[in-house]
Amino acid sequence: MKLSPKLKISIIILFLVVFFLVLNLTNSSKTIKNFFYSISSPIQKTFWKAGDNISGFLKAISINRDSKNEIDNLKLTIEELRAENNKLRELKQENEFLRESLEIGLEKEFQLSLAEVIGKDISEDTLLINKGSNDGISENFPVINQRKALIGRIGTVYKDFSKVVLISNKESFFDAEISEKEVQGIIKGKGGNKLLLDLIPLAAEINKGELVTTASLGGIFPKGLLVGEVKEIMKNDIQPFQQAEIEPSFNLGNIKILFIITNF
Amino acid sequence: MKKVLILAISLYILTLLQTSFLIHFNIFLNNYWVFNLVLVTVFLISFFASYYQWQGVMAAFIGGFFLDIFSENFFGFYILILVILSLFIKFVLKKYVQIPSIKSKAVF
Repeated sequence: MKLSPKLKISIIILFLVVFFLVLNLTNSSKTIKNFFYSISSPIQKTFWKAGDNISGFLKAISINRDSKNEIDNLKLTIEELRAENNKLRELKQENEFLRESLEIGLEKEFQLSLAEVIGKDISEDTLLINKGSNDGISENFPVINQRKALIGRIGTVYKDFSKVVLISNKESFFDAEISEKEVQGIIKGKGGNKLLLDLIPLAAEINKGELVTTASLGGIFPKGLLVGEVKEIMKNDIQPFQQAEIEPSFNLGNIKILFIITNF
Repeated sequence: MKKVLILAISLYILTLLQTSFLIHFNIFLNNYWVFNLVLVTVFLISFFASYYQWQGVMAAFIGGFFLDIFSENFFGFYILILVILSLFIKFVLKKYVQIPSIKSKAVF
């Protein structure tokens, strides 16, 4: 007896359906699975170990890459924080500077404009500041620090910047007095952050450490600004006047912020 | 018979590879899907074997059987899916795809 192909296929499908039903409805599927698990376990263990090792290695690479990205991001954050910290430090300095000036009541005495030093030329005794004609700055405006110590006067004025000619500049000279004794003289810049008090009458008795302030005679600077203190006295009977070396009351290395007196 | 044996051993090893080795590299779709080596093999065999031959359906049956052994679904789940896939590929190839053979070229 020869079966037709359609019948053959139907018989096969029927057989398979019955086979799977028997497998699923009885415990025989468990037996078959158990048999295959037992013969596969050695190979599975090997494959599992290999897969675990390789995936672990790949994960380590991936983690390494992630860490690199994280490090880059953290570096960026550090840079940002450093910049912010720097800015805050500058603000703190400015704040302290203003507080000191408030303590001695500078703002009541003069009209002031705050400026930052952005450049120094020690060889020429000049400073470059970030205020210029656009900020209402003009030539010869006095420049002081927060302790009312005279630093210099405005020299060349640009639109947004100005040059400050320090009192120690060789071209700088103005009237000054030894404040406690009303002994007057002329301060001359000697260059290199040095000052000389000249034309002091021979009769006047001056001592080391005495404070020198501006006098009102010249009219360039307001009276009473601190210039420095007497460092050395040069007295000679042959000459009609005595001289004194003055130590400026400001430290050129520390000047970062200063005041320009716009009206006095 | 020899061919069936080779096919069965190959699919058995591929199933073991998939369930024990590739399971560690579940990189698809947010680490949820694993590359199904047996499915791809059955697909390729069904696609490249001539539609007059039995390898495609046989591979689907054996591959499905091994996948069922190592899965928690009811027995016959993968066999059903793979056999249907294999038959579908054969049907599409027979009905809609004409692959020019060397013989037909020679005649032409």
